[in-house]
Amino acid sequence: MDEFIKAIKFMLTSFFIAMIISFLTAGIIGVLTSIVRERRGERGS
Amino acid sequence: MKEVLDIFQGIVNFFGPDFSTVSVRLLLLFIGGFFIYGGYKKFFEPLIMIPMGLGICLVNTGLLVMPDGKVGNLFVNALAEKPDEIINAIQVYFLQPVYTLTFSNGLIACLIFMGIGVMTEIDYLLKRPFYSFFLAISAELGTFLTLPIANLLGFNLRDSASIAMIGGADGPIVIYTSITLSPKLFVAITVVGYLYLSIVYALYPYMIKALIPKKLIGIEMVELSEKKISAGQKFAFSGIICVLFSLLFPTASPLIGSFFLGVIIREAGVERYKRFMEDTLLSGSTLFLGFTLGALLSTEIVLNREVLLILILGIIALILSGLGGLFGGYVLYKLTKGKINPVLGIAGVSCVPTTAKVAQKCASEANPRAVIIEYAMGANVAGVITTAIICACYISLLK
Repeated sequence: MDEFIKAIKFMLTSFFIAMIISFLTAGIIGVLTSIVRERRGERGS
Repeated sequence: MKEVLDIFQGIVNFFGPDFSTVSVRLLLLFIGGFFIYGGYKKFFEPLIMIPMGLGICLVNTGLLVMPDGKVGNLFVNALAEKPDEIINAIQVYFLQPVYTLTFSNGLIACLIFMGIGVMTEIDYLLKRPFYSFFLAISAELGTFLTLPIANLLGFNLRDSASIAMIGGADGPIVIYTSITLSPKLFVAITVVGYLYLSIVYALYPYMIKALIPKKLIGIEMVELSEKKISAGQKFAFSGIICVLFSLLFPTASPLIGSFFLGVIIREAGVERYKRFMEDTLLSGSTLFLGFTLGALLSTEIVLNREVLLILILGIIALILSGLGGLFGGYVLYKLTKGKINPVLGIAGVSCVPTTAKVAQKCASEANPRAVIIEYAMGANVAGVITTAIICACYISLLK
């Protein structure tokens, strides 16, 4: 039973880490893409 | 008579031992033949299943008496661990150099990942990063839930994590995790993983049709082509993400690094490397992966209760991941007030590009004007990255 609780803990820890890192990556991509787009817009005007 | 029997010792050794061993050998011959036939008829992935099937047939028929007096074969000895045993094995078993130098350290997974990387278009991921990662994390439901389920069925935490990775539906990552965390179950987990990965193409369309109304399957989406992402941007993003992940997850750094090396080579336009990685490296690695895995599937591996459980857990993992992905797709459909086709969720399962093609095929069948492949490929690539992150978490926590 102890090991099962450990398994649940590992599962939840991995889930939260994976979720945070995934959305962080999405955030980094989003921010960098918008910066590049803004700079392109400035150059174009 | 003895000389004749010595010449045909394969036949003598095949039928020599007890009835149960002979039955399992015959069963394995049938399975190997079925894999070859399935590959030939294209309902299994031929690149992997034909060499694997042949390997299974050969390793269970080419039986001879080895110098130590036991019945064996000349293919590979996965049990050799000490340096002198490995050196001796390399002299005897013809696939031993491939196994020792590329399997036991995860290199084969990395080589395949380089090939996948060089074939992957990250355009779509960069255009819709949040949608893609949301679907990808939803489609990891099986990778998470199978861990405690496997543990309940009696597997230790390391083996449970390796089995759960089948839910990530990414062959190289399944290899990398199982060789690192469960070397003893590595063959069974990887063979089951690849077997199921080659049938998800047939399984998931039924799930989609059973769970999502036809009206929603055929939702048309705005094309992404108005947003332009330059090769330079993709090159820069790949480099940044690769280094960032390497910093965060050193245990999965070889795998993540190999994938992004492929992506970077593609975006840098280094055609010679690109051709080499796409054709020679990926084809060669896949061929030897399939053949060596098949050659590892001998009776000793199959005569094991755990294999049956892995077969059950593998399909549970993939079904849960599919369900999670579709649920994620449905949540996005609701959040965007009907703009997102919920079928996209299945593409979050990172079997590149199979699940993206499945999503597009189902959408086209429901509505020929529904083009969702760009979004699907974004979720697909995000799925690979998310699975690599989970692999890193499991290895770091459990190694």
